[in-house]
Amino acid sequence: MAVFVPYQVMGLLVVSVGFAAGPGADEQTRLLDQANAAYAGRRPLEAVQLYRAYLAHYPDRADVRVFLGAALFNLEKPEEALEETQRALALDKSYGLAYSLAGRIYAGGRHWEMAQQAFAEALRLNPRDREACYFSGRAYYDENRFDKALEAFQRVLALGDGQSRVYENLGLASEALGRFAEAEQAYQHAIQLSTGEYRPYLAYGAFLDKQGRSSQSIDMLQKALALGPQIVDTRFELGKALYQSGQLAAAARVLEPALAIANQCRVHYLLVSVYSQQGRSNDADRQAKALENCRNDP
Amino acid sequence: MIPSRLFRSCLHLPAIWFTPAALAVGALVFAQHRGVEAPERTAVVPIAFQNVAKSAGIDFVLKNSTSANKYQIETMPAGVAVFDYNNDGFEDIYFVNGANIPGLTKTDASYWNRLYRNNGDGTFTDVTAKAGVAGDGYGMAVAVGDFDNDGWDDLFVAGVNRNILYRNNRDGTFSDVTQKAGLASGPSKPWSISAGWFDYDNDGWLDLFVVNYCKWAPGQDPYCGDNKPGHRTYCDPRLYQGLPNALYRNNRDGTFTDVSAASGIGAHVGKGMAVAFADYDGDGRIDAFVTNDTERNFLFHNDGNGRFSEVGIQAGVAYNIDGKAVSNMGVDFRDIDGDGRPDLVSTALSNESSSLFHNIGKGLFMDASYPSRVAALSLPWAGWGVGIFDLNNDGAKDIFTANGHVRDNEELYGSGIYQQPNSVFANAGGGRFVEARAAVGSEAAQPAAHRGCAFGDFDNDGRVDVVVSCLNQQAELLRNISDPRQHWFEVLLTGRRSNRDAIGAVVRVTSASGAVQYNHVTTAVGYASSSSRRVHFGLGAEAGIQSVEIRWPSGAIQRLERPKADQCLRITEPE
Repeated sequence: MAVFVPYQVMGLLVVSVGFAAGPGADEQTRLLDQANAAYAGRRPLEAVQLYRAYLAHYPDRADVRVFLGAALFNLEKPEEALEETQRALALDKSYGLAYSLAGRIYAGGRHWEMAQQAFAEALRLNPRDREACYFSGRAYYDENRFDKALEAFQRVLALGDGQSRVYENLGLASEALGRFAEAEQAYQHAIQLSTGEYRPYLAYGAFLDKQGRSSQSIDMLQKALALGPQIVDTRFELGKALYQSGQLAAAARVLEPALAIANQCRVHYLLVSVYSQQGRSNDADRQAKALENCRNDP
Repeated sequence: MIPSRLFRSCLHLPAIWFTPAALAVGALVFAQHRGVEAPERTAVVPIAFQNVAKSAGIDFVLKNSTSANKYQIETMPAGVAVFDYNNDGFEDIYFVNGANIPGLTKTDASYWNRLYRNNGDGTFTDVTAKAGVAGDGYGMAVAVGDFDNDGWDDLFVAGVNRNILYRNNRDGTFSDVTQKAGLASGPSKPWSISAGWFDYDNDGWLDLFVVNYCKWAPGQDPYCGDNKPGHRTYCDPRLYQGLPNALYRNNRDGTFTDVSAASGIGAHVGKGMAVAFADYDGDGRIDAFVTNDTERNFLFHNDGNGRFSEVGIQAGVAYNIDGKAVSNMGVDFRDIDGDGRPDLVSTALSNESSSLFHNIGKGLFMDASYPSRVAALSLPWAGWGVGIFDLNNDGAKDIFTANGHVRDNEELYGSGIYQQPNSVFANAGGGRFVEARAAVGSEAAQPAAHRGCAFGDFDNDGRVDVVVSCLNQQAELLRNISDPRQHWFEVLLTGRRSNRDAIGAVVRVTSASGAVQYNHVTTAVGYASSSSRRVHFGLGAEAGIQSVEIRWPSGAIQRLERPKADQCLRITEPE
């Protein structure tokens, strides 16, 4: 499943009109505003329709094509998204944002080499492009090239981006490299910088669990759950930590609502073990049957 | 260096040790010690190995025919066996080897499987030609078991599209009896990757479990990796079609019957990698655990009526704690925490972590990989062979894994490295493990593309040694040189009503202080390999043993009072 390209990640607050108004310009400006609003409101289908309507009048807007590409990517239409970025680059071959988006599209399709080429081009055009650098790091991480990912996240920090998410990813890359002390430091930093997001607590809590530090892990994951009760990842990690520490009833209470949010195989699997150990064999059997029919590989 | 004197072998148990009053069949319940977890130790007895392959005369190189075509089979060989083929009391070594690709033939002697006889003085002699066990085709695995109950261990060699059963002729030679035994691969010719002997129907004759990997033929591998010179790499197993495993029942006349379908084993398709056996639920019937590559593991519960039920999900061992089917590789199935219930340790790729499944009774397991720190310690390493043995004789079993990445050009594609050092995780008590790498002799911690490994006490000094196969490099013979002051005890069992190798027999040792340990007889250990069938116990500082209790596969219970420590005893099942 494609990762939503957040609006702010595209590097612009809005796609501005950016040219002298002509006849009907007001109407087109409204159209673009509506498209931007739909994009920002995570309504990619609507955004695609509106951007396309706008481009029917102004087909030479490279920036609008990139946003259309981003909306298409969020609709899990990577081929169409890539076409739009290519059209944008045909209009403006030095448009770094288009390369950055192309990099993300290639990375989503696991075309790692092409992804890194695109990110490199974005960074050649603008060596201070923190977004391109950050997503280059993400792509390296997803490719299991953790040393390169670590370098990229360190470069983002050197560029002055001290966002929580960068430290969180620095932690993930350090952890994957077995550099646990550095990872822990990075996760703690991510939490200090966070402004009420669940993610850094989740990442640190999961890390602590993997280090065999269950009680600390449970504390951290409970904070993550309070900040994002609808996040399945948090429920799963907390349920797992509770289960491993023998708190079976608490684990069940945390895990059961996760299935109402998303039908994930891993949750069924964990519940089989939780219920079995509680002696709830019928419930365990039900989860085992659900798992047999479950197709989403965690 | 190994001293040049002859080492002492296992001693025959004097009759005085028998306590007939304690013998019983079936009705006696083999007492299960409810383990209380010991607190974590502040200091762990160091574990040290020295690679003595060269001085011992082990010059075996595992050849896989590496090619630019990246045939999937290249990266998977091969296993190794530790067994006493000539019954002289010294453990010998058998290495499995690859072959030419795509012909899958051993075009010259460099591809031969090799049998090394232990001379009893720290050296080995290559006796392959005389023994007639050079093999045929592209070998993968070896399983040792005395299938004809004649007291001489036989060899089953699994491979790509071709398996071989070698019967031990009792004179230093072997005969290929595959066809006669009914074990020829037949028209389907699967790629068999591991195998193991166990007596699933408790009739006193060893049966054969063969693990099959996936459908493969030369020239049919898809192209994987970046499309530029030198970047082709081995494909993800998900691109291949899996295979069911096979079970062969011993007909007690030198032949076998394929009972894969009748037993239910053949109904489950996976990408099998290894098999290990233990009676995990204490019902007196030996069960089988099969690791699968990128698919869920199988736990085959022996139902006792010739059939098995696959209960991996219900038991909590199908996936890891994250619900993921990782690249499961080797496995060992034995009690690691002293509660008398066999636990599971399996290896996986770098960044996936090995798994430790703690048997909590009632047929259930708890994934203890994270709390035990086995996951964190193994994270950087791609493990193949694995064994749960008390390597420092401190009374708590440790974990050894043979490491090496799958892809020989891994550096192009990830942060992992192809050649990796082996790992030793020392049992620190309290259910926790610590890295013992610093204590491992540097010569023994050299990076290589390690694959199968097997365990045994080559010099009969009571410390468990390890032999490791390495792709395109000289094999390692890791002599255990850990603190010799720690006490130990070994038994070598011979079945009468039970299968002659006593595979499945459970041994309980109670030391003078009352500490209880369990272990059982098995040769199916690790990846594609076969370990010594001696049962080993470390006793730490305790020089005395209160009692030894053996539960034979036949159901008989045998009890020995106060045997001496620091010896290997040969014990025969009472009639």
